[in-house]
Amino acid sequence: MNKKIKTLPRELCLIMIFAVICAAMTAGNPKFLTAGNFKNIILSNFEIGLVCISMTCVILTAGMDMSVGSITGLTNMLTGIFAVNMGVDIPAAILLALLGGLSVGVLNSIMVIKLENSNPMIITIGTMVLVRAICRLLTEGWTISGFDKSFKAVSYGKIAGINNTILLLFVLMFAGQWMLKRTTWGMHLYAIGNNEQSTYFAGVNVKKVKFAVYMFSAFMSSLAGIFLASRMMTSYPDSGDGYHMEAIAAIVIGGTSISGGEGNMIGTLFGFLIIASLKNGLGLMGVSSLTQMIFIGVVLIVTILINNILKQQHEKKGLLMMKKNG
Amino acid sequence: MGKKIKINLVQHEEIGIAAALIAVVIIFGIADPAFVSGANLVRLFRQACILGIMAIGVVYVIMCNGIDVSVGAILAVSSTIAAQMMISGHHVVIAVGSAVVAGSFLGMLNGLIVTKLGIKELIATFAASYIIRGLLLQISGAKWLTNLPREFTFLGQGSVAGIPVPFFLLLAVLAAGYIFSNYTPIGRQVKAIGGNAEAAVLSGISITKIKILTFTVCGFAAGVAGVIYAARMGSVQSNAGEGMEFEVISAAMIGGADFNGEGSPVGAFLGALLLTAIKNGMVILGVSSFMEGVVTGGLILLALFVNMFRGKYENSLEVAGNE
Repeated sequence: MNKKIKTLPRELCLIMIFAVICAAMTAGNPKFLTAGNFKNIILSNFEIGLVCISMTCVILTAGMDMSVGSITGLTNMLTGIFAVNMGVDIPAAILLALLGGLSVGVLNSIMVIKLENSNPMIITIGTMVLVRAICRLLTEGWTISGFDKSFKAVSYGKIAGINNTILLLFVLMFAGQWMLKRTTWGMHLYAIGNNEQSTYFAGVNVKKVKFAVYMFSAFMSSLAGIFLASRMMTSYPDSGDGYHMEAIAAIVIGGTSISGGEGNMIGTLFGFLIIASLKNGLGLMGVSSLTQMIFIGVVLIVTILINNILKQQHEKKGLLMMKKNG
Repeated sequence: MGKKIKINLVQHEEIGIAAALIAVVIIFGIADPAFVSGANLVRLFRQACILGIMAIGVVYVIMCNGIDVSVGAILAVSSTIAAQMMISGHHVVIAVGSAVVAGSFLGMLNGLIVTKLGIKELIATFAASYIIRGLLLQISGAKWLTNLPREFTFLGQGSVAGIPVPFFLLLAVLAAGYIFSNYTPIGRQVKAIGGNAEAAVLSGISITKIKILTFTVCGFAAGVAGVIYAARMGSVQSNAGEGMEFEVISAAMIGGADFNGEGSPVGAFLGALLLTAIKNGMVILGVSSFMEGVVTGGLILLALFVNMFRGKYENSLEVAGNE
């Protein structure tokens, strides 16, 4: 009865995993542990970070959005088409591209709400295939370059010496954490993920929340597409390919349950940092990108296992406490 | 009387997709008679085999509320093993056998990761595909494996009585799948778990066993497809089947596969035929190949809506019957 079960807070565990990976990467190449490189890690994965934020919200509702990468690709292409091919002013081009991305979000939201019997994963695989094909169809597979130089400021601008993209990512991550834990809307996400039906009976407009969540997902993916265009100064039809899997991997490493109702944004932040620094560090060591895949796969499985074990321990501890209290 | 026939038609989910297939063949046939020529139909059958076999395999995983995004990687492993073993002098039968066994084994490994380690299907198979592809490249060194023996390439390029050999293999897999899902208790258990896992457990079905089985079947199908891939191409490289996962899942979904136990091997077979027919027809008509994805995506969404209306209609019939 008095057996004590030691439990580790999940966030502490994530920090430890992150530290271990950083140490291993530094041992492989000391250049890893420099401020410049850390800036580099975040800058080169910034777009996936944006997608991670909205994807966390989607997954918390026990949903799934596989079309994020395709939406990124679509806005990326649209920005190029409006700004370069049609010669629209850059702010207007960005706005039009955002509208294009959001229209896919409307399609996703409506279908997820209307097709109650189909899983969101299956539905968004449909839009993923469709929208990716539209990206390629728009220019018959050609890339667009020749943006106006001023467009570069979107991704490379600085506020008080810090890159505005890095600032934006962290602000959004912490704002997201605040929103999830401190607002009604955030609580609704957890509630829907845990039990959609009882949330509905509790008087929450489930359809409205779901609509908002898939629109948010489309919005963040669209932002990613625009930032990517600005960072590369080109639009290419395959941009954003694979973002959905990388974002899901980061989120799951961060301890968010893929069946919904459990997890937070801080975990996602660390999941994102773990994957990003793993890719960067292995690259610095000269490991080829296909061999990197082995490491990412193994780290993915191991961290999820650790998360599962922690979760079981928490549950055991909870049971013991209940017994003690009668 | 008329009502009964209606009910039967609605109960067979494959009717819609079969009608779509016939419509597509007629439309392309009118647009360009070359599409319905014997030579082109044979070519179409040959093209559909790899996709068809893999789609039939993945249907069971989807029915069980899972997904497998590692089929492309498994195809690469099995085709590399088949080719490598023949090059190093093993008999064709042994090479093919080991390739198929390797595919089934990797599928079983997926199933074990999902059930025993408790990792969700999407993440588990995604991680597996990363590890498999990475290891394969490490081991095989991205070499082109060519000069495969004639007896082997017959499996992919040959034909018997005018019909391509791989199509016979596809039909065999289809027949096995049909018997498995309709006439064996285990096949029904797969549907039961997808429909209502809790009820299935209470009636004594082991989810663990069935899930491992569905992934093994999926791996087996990908293994067979890998052998046909190697035989048809006559050469293999370790990036074989890259990005094929979503094409396979699309074919199964167009054939009516969905979570909650929806779907059937016949549907997946017809879905693969439909996708291949559209691809083939577009090439003949000279339509941009980029349109293909637009049509595929559109068809998936259409299939989902058709499923929804069918479900509603079935429910209304049940209600009417109870009254």
